[in-house]
Amino acid sequence: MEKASLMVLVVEDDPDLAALEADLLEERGHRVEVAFNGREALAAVERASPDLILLDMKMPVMSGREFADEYRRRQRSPAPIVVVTAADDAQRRAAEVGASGWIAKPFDPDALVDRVTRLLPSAGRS
Amino acid sequence: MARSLIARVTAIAFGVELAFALAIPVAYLHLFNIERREDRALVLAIVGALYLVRTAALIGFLASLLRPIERWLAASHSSSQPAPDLTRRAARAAYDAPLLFPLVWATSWLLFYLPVTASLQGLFADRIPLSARAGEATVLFGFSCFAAALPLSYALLSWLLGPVAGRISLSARERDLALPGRRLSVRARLVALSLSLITAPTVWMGVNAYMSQIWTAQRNLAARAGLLADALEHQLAGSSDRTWEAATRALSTPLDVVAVATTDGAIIANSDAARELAAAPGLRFRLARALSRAPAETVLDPSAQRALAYRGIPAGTGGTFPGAVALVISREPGRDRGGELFTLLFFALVALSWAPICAGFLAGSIAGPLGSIRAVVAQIVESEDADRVGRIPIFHRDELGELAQGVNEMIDRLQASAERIRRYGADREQLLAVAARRAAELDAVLDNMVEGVFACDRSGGLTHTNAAGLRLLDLSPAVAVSRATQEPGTGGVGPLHPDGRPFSPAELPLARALAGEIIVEEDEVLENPSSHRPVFLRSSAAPIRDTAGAIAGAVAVARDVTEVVEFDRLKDQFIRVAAHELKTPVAILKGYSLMLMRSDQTLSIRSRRMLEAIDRGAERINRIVEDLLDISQAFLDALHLSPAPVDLDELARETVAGLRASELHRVVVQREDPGPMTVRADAARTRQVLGNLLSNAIKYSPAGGTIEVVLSVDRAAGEARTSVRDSGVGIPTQKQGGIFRLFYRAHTDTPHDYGGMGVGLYMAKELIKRQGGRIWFESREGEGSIFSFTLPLA
Repeated sequence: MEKASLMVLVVEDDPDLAALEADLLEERGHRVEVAFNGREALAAVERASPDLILLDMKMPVMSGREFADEYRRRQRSPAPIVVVTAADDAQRRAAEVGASGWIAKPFDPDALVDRVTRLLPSAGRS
Repeated sequence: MARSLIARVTAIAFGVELAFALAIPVAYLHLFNIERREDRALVLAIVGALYLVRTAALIGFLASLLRPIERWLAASHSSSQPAPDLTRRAARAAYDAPLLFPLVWATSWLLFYLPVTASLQGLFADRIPLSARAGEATVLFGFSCFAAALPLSYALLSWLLGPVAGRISLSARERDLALPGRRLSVRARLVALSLSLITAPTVWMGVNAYMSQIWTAQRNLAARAGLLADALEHQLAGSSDRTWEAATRALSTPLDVVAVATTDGAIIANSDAARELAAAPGLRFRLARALSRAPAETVLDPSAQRALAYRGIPAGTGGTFPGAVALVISREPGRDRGGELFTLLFFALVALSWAPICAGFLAGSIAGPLGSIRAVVAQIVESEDADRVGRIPIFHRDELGELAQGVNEMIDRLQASAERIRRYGADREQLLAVAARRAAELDAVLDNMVEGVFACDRSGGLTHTNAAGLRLLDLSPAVAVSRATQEPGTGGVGPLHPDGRPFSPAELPLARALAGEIIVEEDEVLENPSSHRPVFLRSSAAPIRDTAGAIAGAVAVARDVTEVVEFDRLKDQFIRVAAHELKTPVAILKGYSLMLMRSDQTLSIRSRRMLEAIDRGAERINRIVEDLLDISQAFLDALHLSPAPVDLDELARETVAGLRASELHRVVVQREDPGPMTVRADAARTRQVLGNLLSNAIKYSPAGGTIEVVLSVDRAAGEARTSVRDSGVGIPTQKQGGIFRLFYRAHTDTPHDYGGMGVGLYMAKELIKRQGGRIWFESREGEGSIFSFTLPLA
């Protein structure tokens, strides 16, 4: 497992799913920050400056979309966002928020990890 | 009354005749110049006796003619109906008697004076000098009587019997009996009348004038013969030369005298004419007879061809001449003014009474029928009710009778048609009542229907809208499916298709039904103008055809299905939301069970099996969730397809490669076309379809079976075909019909029931349909199935 350790921000209101995502990524040696809604995520971004953000769309307080807009507005060089959603039109939604990719719920754990690894920018290796 | 008919007819007929019957012997006496009182009495006695005999016979004949009528009258006065046969005989008598009886009657007058004259010849040969013309004169006299009697008696009888005939005709008509009797037209009657009116007096005048000429000539002759004889006698007595020659010479008369027969038979003639006469046979005998009977009297000889007068001359003083002289006198008849005056007066008297009486009775017999026809016609004209109109009696079998018969038949027809009209009217009212009741029932039914009903005529104008329809119209004028066709732009939002497109006027149900289409359960969406909420209408429509099959209008039924639609939508949304909410727990279940199995190498076999069961359960839930989402998307019409060029071959191979549990079956992909197989389709959805078909094929095939995926291209049709062929259990024929229906499971409750929701084929059909393709199958139970679908070539 010669993989670079990355900082991944998991934004997910369901604590169990957030935990699953975090466990899967940490198992691969990544560092994970968890936020349960968009507002928390904005704070976490300031704190942790993630390399990748796994973003749920439907959340209380602040939705994924609001977060994405706000995040882009604040950050000069935002990290890539991967949308994790149960919606049928995941692809379209991902495009709407300018995400780099999307993962449909329920996801295959291997596929999640694989997707994250592939999507990570070269910056991840630096 | 019945008995009195014959009496009445006889009394009137013979009473009228009697006046003339009394005048005729007077004419007869005058005609034959019978002047002596005793001679006249004798003639009148003979005439009277003959008249009584003749009249008795005629009355008997008349009575026998009229008897059927009398019996008929008697029968009709008693309550019983006269027998048809009696009615026929009575009618025949009533119509024929006025024709037959006058002929007999007039003939009796034609013959009446022949025996009188014959007896005169015998009785008065000595005293009454009858000429050879007496027979002809009698015949002519009789003919004139005939001509006078015929119209009189006919007019009388037809006047008397006409009303009776009319009564009989009405009775016969009621019983549908044809009327017998001889027809005599008015024309024939008028011609006969006028002929009689001319003939009777003319013949009488002629024969009278002729006879009176004869009598006058004879009287003159007799007088002159007497004068001659006196002169001759005197000459003979006073002359010494007592010879005929001397005597006739001495007379020096200018007369065409004369033949003289002496007692010794010598005939002395003084002229050619006399000599010719003297040579004629029988003269000697007649002279002798004249001398023996009345020597001093002049005798006229009616038998001679020329008028002769004889005069016996007593023996002269010389005794040389007892003889007779026959005088032949050239005819130069003097006129008997007195006789002519009598003739004229007599004729005028008779004609003035006879002709008007004839004409009067005849007119009466015509006017009677005409009057009854006029009365009935007036009834027809004035009466509103043809039933009350009576029938016209038929008095005579002539033009008027036929006219009456025609009018009677016309009344029959009028009454029949009035009856028809009454029946028709009654039927019509009944039908109208039934129709009104039906209409009321129908209105009640229609008005209590939940559905709005709209009917329109051929031009699209609304002809009927029920109560629910009116409510729909109030809701939104645009609901007026037909009003939109006739008043475009009446405002309001027009109806929309469920997918949001507006209806064009030609698309509206009534408009399409008017074009002949039958529309079943099509949805429209309207906007409630007050609440601005959508109103869903489900409409059916059909043309109304007339009896010839042409479209006379259309009817549409629209139901407000808003609640149903909203409930349905709510249900779909619920399914959708619920399915989405299930995704996260499924992801957690699957994620952790997988993670555990992979990361923890120390897991016992038992624990690992448990985790695998958890994973399979989660996977099943996941598939159900996917199915539910697909269905709800299909129902909500929210299936999002992203068609793009796809290599079918590659897609098929990927799908086959991704199949799970295919270890027990062999799945092969064959292509029948070497060329490119690029179709325009949504790759993921097409993969889903093929996956569904393959999973079915695997599910219902025995272990170790081969499943073929055959790819082919029909470039002419512009489509590619994918067939999935298995050799499994197949689908029973009776189950094949519903195979693409949602939740339909052909193998439910059979040994081949391998579970599932019955969603796969439904979704396959929906997805292929939405991509412009077709899907179908062939199957035989126990032999396997082939499911095929097409997709358009890119």
